[in-house]
Amino acid sequence: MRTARPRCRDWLLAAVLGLTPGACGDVGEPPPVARPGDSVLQRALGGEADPGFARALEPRDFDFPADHGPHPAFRNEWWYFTGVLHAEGGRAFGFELTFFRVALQPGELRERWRSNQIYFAHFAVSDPHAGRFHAFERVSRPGPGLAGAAGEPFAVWIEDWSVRGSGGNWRLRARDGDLAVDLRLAVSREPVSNGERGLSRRSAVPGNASFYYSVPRIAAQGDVRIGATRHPVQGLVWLDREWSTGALSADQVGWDWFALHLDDGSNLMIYRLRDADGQPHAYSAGTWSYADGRVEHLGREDFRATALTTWRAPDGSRYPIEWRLELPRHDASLRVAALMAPQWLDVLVPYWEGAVRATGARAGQPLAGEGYLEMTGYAVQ
Amino acid sequence: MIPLAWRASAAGLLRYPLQSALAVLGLALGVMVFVAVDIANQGARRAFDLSMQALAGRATHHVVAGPAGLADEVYVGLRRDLGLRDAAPVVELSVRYGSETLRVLGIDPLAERSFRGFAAAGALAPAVWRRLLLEPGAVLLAASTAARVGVQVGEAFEVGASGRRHTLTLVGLLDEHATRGLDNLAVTDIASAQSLRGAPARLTRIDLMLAEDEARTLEAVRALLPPEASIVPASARARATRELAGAFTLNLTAMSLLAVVIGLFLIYNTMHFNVLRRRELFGVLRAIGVTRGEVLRAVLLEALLLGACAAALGILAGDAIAGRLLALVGRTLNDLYFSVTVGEARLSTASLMLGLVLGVVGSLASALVPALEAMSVSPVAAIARRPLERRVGGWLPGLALAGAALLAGAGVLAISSTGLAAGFAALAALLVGSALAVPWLTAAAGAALGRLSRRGPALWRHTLGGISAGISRTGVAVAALVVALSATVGVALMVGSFRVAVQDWLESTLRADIYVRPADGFSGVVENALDPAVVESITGLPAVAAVSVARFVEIADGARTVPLFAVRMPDLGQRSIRLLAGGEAAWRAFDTQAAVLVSEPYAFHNRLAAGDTLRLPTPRGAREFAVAGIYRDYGSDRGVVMMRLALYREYWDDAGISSLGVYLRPGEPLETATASIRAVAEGRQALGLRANRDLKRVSLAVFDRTFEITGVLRWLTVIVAVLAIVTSLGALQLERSRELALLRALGMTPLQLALMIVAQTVLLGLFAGLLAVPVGIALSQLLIHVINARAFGWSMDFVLLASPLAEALAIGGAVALLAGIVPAWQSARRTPAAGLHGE
Repeated sequence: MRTARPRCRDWLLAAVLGLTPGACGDVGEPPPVARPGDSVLQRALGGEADPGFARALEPRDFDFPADHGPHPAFRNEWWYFTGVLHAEGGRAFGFELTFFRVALQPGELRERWRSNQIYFAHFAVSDPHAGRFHAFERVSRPGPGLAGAAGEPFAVWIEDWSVRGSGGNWRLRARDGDLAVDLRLAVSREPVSNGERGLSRRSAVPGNASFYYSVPRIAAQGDVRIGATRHPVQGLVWLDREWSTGALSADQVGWDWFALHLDDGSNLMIYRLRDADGQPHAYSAGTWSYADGRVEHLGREDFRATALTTWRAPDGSRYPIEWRLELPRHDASLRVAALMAPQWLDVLVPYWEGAVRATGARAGQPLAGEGYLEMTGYAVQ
Repeated sequence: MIPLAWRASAAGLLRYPLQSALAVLGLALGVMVFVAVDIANQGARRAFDLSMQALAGRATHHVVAGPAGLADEVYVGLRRDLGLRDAAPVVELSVRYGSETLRVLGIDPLAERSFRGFAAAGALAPAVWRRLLLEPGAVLLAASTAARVGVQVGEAFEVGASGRRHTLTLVGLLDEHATRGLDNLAVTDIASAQSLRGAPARLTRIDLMLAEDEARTLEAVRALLPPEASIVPASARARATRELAGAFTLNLTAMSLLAVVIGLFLIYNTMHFNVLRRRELFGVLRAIGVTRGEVLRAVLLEALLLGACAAALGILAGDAIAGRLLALVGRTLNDLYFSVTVGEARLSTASLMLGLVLGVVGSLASALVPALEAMSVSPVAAIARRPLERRVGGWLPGLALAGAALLAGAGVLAISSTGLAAGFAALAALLVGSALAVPWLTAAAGAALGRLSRRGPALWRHTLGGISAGISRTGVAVAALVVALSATVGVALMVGSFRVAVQDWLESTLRADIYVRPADGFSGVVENALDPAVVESITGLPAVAAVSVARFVEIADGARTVPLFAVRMPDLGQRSIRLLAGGEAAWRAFDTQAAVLVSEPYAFHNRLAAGDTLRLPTPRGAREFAVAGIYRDYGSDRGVVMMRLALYREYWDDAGISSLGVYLRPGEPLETATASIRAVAEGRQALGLRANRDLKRVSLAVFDRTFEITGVLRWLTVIVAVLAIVTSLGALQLERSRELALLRALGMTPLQLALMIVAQTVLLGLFAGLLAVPVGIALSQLLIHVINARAFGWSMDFVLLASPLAEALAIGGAVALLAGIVPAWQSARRTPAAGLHGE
């Protein structure tokens, strides 16, 4: 079975994962992997979090806009922006802009340069039309304005990658090399709490949970620039927000995450925690939210995901890029396929995250959509 | 079969093994000096390059400003507004730990990946870089540095910086290989470095790595920079720093070449001796059918053998002593130019080839005349020496004429040219010209003495008349000695004059009774500042009559830095600075206008004259300052720009004070005043206090140390010359054995004979010493007014010191005495019959 095994390739990999360059190849037991930020964190700081960090123990009511901002009492946190953008003439782009916050130790340490917080971020653009995928990574301390996050006015940034705004009007900007994305985001809908009123449990151990909400349907308009060409685009952006301190249990090796904007106006999010045999873990879950504001939480028994075809990444690991999602209780079945196979981020912990299209039916009615798929923990030794 | 001529040749070399060995030894010494200097220069340069490289990492450009450095925001702007990813903030400073200086490099481990691998988070254990980021004062040292300064991982240690104490903790070790050439490097987080410097929110520089679109990016970076900041290519910055020491290393190379040249005299001498002695043999060889070409080749082969042996020995010896020399060179560089930890002295292929070429080619060239001489021997060889001596005697006036022409050329070159290379050419012309004239002068003097002695006792006649007899050899030996001695005299006079000038300058410049600066401070850096409260307290002490206030900073101006000295001097009726240009008007301008004074070397290097303007980058933009005058200063060979303190503060937002000169009220005892100054600073800042007398003494000590290496080279040169004279005079006496035997047979006692021989050689030695006086004085003029002026821009008065001249005479006489004793003893011991049968 495939296990998540870091490769001795990248400095941050070595640094954050607790390896000195000479110690490559002898990393011991691979720790469990969920989202990339999770794995980075766990390996950097060890399985057991410092008891000085706050933990997600009880359900809570989110408080916006404050909760859009950082929660430094928790060990880690992320802001995930993904979406499929459409240019004139039917050309589609996928983009991902993700910010991670990691606390190196509990407590408040916020001087001009010295801080216990570190930010890192991934920026990726999928261009299926041209068959190109671009991914970048940044890491920074907050320093005197290099990186940070705030609730109101909303801001999360690392150098010149940022999402900022106030009220419901945000602006997302990221560029690297000859690639840039500049979007105006209209955050008009209420965020959707995942799990039990925002408490998303990962295992039976109390505190091995996160606070987790999504803003599934953000209208976006702007442009994608590739080289000298500017493509005006519009589309829907999905924001996933999560903060936590706990670790995964040892029997979870990775996860598959689906976030789909469906054409009936609903949004389907499913995360599937995998055990060492590739089987879904009991704490896998999901959320189906509807245009009328209704929210349904899905348990492990409410869905079944079957990998149909796989793609071999340059590092030799194999990622399923076509899935069948079956939701028997909803009489729904969807075939989810990547817009292009190589949407693999060759970053410190490599993972696959990319734009997908979904087709199928629910209760006999055709149902289609598009969105993002994330897969971690497939890396081969 | 080995050609006959070659066998004869080998036999010739082996016939007088001592002679050949001494020749080889002499040239080997010359090559040794050259190779050692070359290795040392290269070693210093390599160490410097290595440390610059390691410190700059893969940076292609630096953003610099000065003296206060750059605001953090400039760096944030580059990353956030410009999206430059390959940019790294740097805060550099030095701290003292006991007697060691640690060079602190403050970086952001998360931004180092593209620059200095050894400081990047990825190269460090996570626990280490986390501590670096989180703990104030956490540092990394190379294991070798940690071992030398005696600090263990996990241990806290206290360092001093600009009068303040700080606690550092060694949290991990640096990769030894990656930090090669960076002994005493301490890597710390930027936050710790800023608090060590006492300059929060300021960076000393920003490193950039630019590749594509360089011009466009450069333009964009420039647009973001404050007016006093500039962006410079990393190579230009390293070069500008390295070039500071260029003149110094060039001088060393020139001196080492002198040793080689004198070694070549020796080879010439030996070869000539060998050829003359074997004239008969060559005649016979030619008679039995050996061609002229074969004879020529055989003699050249001898020279080749000698040269190759000498070169090999010299290279080996040079390699062996280079380490010592490198330490000397390194210390001078550290005293005067830049901090460099001189590592290993390694023989490079280039040094090896140069040494080999110098030895072999030089040897062949110097054997050319003797070889042609051998070739021209006719089969019916004239066995007697006389005709040759006569012929050599015939060449002497021509040689002397050529020498005179060279001397004239040297004069013209010195006056009309401007470059340093031309200065060295003039120097070479002077030495060679003198050397060419020496044999004729010696012969003439010998002849004159011979005439004088005509009516004297027989012994006198023989002694004085014999001097010019072996002129074909003695001339060359004396010439070699003259060159060596005059070089000694010239350098000694130059150094002596220089020292007197520096002493005078110290006397007139250092007027205050006590000089106060922060303890553990480093010159030219902005953080080296006195606590304003301490300054105020000192100024207010009852014993203090007045204070002079000085601020010394380095202003980054593109790739180079301008040393800026801002002063406020008390009105004591008399200025302590001596103006060389500008006059009284310069002082008025300096006191009241936007005008500066520049030191002599600064004016020289930057081609400035009184009345010119000097453009300096300031935080208010580039500003022009009038150069009101030029003043004498031996403190820095780069030169200094001096400015009124008030004017400096108008443009640079820096109220810091680097040092105070405290003038005591008359009758106030120094010790009490010193104690009260220490008392007012107690608990606020550690001070470095120096009494006037001590400061002068220390300054002169640094001066003397600078010329230590010159002294070493000088003596090595003399040793080569001594070998030259010993071998040639020794050989001469050996060759005269038949004549000497005849004298014995005619009734001269062994003692008389010995005395005669010794007297002859001593006379030659004294004569060389005598000739070395005018040549040495001329040489010192060139060194002072041409070489020194062109290399460093210093002017100074020539001071004629008696001791170097007396030294030259004494060395000449002593050396010759030494050279005469052995042959005298041998000749005296020989029975007349043996001598007459000899050869």
